[in-house]
This record gives sequence, structure tokens and C-alpha cells, in this order.
Amino acid sequence: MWTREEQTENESAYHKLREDLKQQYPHMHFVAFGHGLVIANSADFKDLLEKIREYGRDPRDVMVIRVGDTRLKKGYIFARIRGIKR
Amino acid sequence: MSEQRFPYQGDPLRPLVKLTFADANGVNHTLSLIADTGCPFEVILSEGWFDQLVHTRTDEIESNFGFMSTGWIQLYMPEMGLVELINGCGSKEVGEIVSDDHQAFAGLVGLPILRLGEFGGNATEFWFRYPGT
Repeated sequence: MWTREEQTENESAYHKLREDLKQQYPHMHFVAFGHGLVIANSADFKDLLEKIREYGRDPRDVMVIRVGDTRLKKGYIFARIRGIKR
Repeated sequence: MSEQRFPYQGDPLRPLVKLTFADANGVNHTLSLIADTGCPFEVILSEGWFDQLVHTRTDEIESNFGFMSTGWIQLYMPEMGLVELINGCGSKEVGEIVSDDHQAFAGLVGLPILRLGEFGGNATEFWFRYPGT
């Protein structure tokens, strides 16, 4: 089961290990975290899901990042200002 | 090239794209999403749809709607040739806002997905084509 506490633990571990992961794995390699530990890795997403299950976790409960991922971490959404409708 | 074309829907009128996603059990779900070319994220889904479609979580994203859950989601539209593992977001607030405009809206699709193909609109319709030229 996914929990906020474990998500925080996984994000904290990822931020500590981010630079080390770049040395250990190829660019855009998938790495899975569970309870603040690296529990699986693979270049292929489907293979990674299998490894997570073999480890005994439901993939939906763990955190997976791609090494060297530069996607946006912060951004604005202009959808519509709440409460204002024409 | 495949194309989808829909009349604007909702109040106020919104451009609409229908995308199909495969959940973790391999079941496909087609969602109506507001095409938001100003949105820098791939898709932002209502919390319920995000929880149903996410394959694994990833690290959260900060936005003017607060922190949003993110995860890997399988965009699965083989009939268009559009099959991509994408990073989707989940937001209760965004889900509430879009469904207030039209109850069928399940979220937003942003520029990173729209620009995989081509998109455009006129007075009555919005269209999305894939692949782009």
C-alpha cells in the first residue's frame, strides 16, 4: 500500500543518491525505491516491474525515477482561477 | 496520419482531446482531457483517475495548485501509433476545476504530449493529429 510517509522516505533517499546514481547507471536507466532503499533497476520498464514484484512489492506502491531525468519539477498551470467563472 | 477532431465542450467552452491509457492490469481507459497548450506537464489527471492509471510513483512536482503526485502512466493508442510511457500528475484540485467545466473532463493534457503530434482549432472544433509532419 502506498503511503505518504514512504513516499517522503523514497524522495529523500533519491535526492541524497541522485549524483551517485549517475555514476552507477546509464542515462535514463530506471531505478526503483522502496522504504528509502534502491530495490530494483533496469533499462526496460516492464522488466523493472517484474523485478519489483519479485522483490515482493506492488509497483504502484514504490517510487521509480530515471537516472539523469531533467523533467520539470515545478511549473504553473493556468487552467482557471478557482471560483471565477464567466 | 491519424486525426481526432471534437467540438469545443463545457462551460466555458474548452478544447478537448481523448487519450487512451492502459492501467497496471492492461485494461484500457479513454479519458476526455482539456487540451492546455500552456500546461508544461504531460497530463494532469483527477486524483481518482491518477490512482487508477499509475504504474509506479515518481517524485512529486510543485505547482501553483500545490504539490502534485506524479507517476509513470502508459499512454496506449496503437491505432494512432501513439504508445508512450509518460510521466503523469494527479491533482484533486485540478480534477475538481475541470469537472466543474464539464463532468466528462478527467484532467488536462499539456504541451509535452500535444507537441508529439500536431494540433489546431477553429471557431467550432479542436483537432489533434499524430504523428506530426
